[in-house]
Amino acid sequence: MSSLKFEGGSVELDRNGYLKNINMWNESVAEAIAVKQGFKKLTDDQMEVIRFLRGYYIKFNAFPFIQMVCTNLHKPKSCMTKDFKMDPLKAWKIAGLPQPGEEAISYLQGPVHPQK
Amino acid sequence: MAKVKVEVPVLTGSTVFPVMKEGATSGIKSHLAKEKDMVALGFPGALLPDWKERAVERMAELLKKYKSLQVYLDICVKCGSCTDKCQFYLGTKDPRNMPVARQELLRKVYRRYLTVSGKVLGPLVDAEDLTMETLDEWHTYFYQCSECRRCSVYCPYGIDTAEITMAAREILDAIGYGQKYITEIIHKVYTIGNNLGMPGPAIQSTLDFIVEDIKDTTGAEVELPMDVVGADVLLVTPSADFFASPHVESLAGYAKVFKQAGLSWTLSSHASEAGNFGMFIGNFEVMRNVAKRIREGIEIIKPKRLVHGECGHAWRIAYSFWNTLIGPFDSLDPNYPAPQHICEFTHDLIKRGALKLDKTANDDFVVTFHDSCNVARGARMGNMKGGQFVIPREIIKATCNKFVDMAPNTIHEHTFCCGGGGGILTDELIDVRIKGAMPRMNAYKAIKDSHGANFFALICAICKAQMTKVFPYYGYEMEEVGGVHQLVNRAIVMGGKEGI
Repeated sequence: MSSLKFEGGSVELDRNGYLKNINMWNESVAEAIAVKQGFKKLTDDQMEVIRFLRGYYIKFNAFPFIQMVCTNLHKPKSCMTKDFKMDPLKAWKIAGLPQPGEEAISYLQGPVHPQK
Repeated sequence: MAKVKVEVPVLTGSTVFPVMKEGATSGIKSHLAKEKDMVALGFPGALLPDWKERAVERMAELLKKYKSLQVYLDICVKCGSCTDKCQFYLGTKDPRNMPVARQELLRKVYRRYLTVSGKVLGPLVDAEDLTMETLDEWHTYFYQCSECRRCSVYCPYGIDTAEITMAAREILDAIGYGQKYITEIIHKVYTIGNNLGMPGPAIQSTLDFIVEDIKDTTGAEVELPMDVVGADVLLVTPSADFFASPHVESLAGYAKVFKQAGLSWTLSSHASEAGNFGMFIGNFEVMRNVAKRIREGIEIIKPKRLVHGECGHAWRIAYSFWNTLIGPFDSLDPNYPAPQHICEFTHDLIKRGALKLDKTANDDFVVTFHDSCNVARGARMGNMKGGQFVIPREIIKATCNKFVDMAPNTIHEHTFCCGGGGGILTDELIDVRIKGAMPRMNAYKAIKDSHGANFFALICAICKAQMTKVFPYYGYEMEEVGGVHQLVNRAIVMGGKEGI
């Protein structure tokens, strides 16, 4: 577990980088988690992805089919990695959502360092 | 999460017997199971204080229950036939990944405690005490095995080494030393109903989205019905088909085939998972608990037929174990196989001329087919010997103009595992998974170089997930990986010719 400072306070992350209490999330927290995940500043499009994931989780208690995220933002189906440069699992963490389950992780986590 | 160190082998197009590298992957370990998941599955939450005694007891119980295991432990003569057959040895070069050496980890303990010669002569007959070090070796190397059974094909005694891996994993679970990936996923099935943890409304929202998307992108109007009581066909498929690409492309293919067949069909939010990770830990009770949801799904929907989507280990469970676990299927129409694979279903329609397929829709592909282990070596399909090899290829040939097989020693029952099956599709094992995929990737590279293959078709959810992840490491596009029904989805001409 670690403490993460953001503009306006601090929140707790678990050892895998997920926000401990999803209710502590706001967009400043998202920015702080994003920095920890290797982003500089989230673009508007990236923040839209984050909002969609959060909204979907709150409604359905699950991770959405990725293509749904892209279509919702009027982008091609491989938008997450190609347009938004975002590993879906990192986006999930930035959205302050809990560990989505081992099987979901194995589908969502991008390559560690792909060859191309 | 700590970054996992990854080394990607260089592909040459052919796989050779590598020089051994002692302990090459001894440091790559699966995460230990969490207490809550172990307890939910009926196992001790943490390593028991008397784990050694309990492990030997459990081994003795398994030997009593499964006579086959006793034979497999006794009969090996260490001839070495299996040594160069395992993709994990070929890829990692770690001699502990030679099937005979991996199984020896269990055999030496078996001899020490459960054979007279081992009790008396100990190390003289290769019998060794069970120590914490051995236990950790079990946890390491029995989770670097995908239970693919390729080595068994070449064993002159027919030893099913996967059964030994399953026994070792079952003993580890019985003493509270399980693996996180498998146990957490089974727990998810117990609580939510599927591996991906998608509640019914989440599945419904995905199905609605896919229907809209198919309409917007192709103009085709298909249905993806869920929970329709009294539908002719209940389709049981892996939950990845509702969650990930390229899996959903096959789901769209199934929907179009059902529509053209003119049959009413449905998915079930209760029986929303064909996969059954109980097999990966070899535990009969867990396997039955997971399968029970299928039985209940049949009771809720009351279908006439039970059709099974594209999933390798799930098809083995369905074909070989469902009847024992949750059968008999007396309420289903006896004129059809129960269960029936979606490939059998589609193939039957193609043979009858009931589907109109435009092969040119797949003209940008040169397709090859990867036989998934559990379909190839653990089940059959159709009413002919080798149907599991013939039927998917016949479907592919009916949906595209250019099909080419990989080298003969890498297909059919000789197929190489994708490197991610058997409960090891977890990120802490990515290095082993990449290396385990190497022989298969070499075969693909060879056919790519010689015939321009650019589409890797298959009928397994785990293979799809593993290969879409591994392809980029080897410099290939993940879009080259897809389901057989993805090809059907592209080629099928909707409307017109209806009826069976």
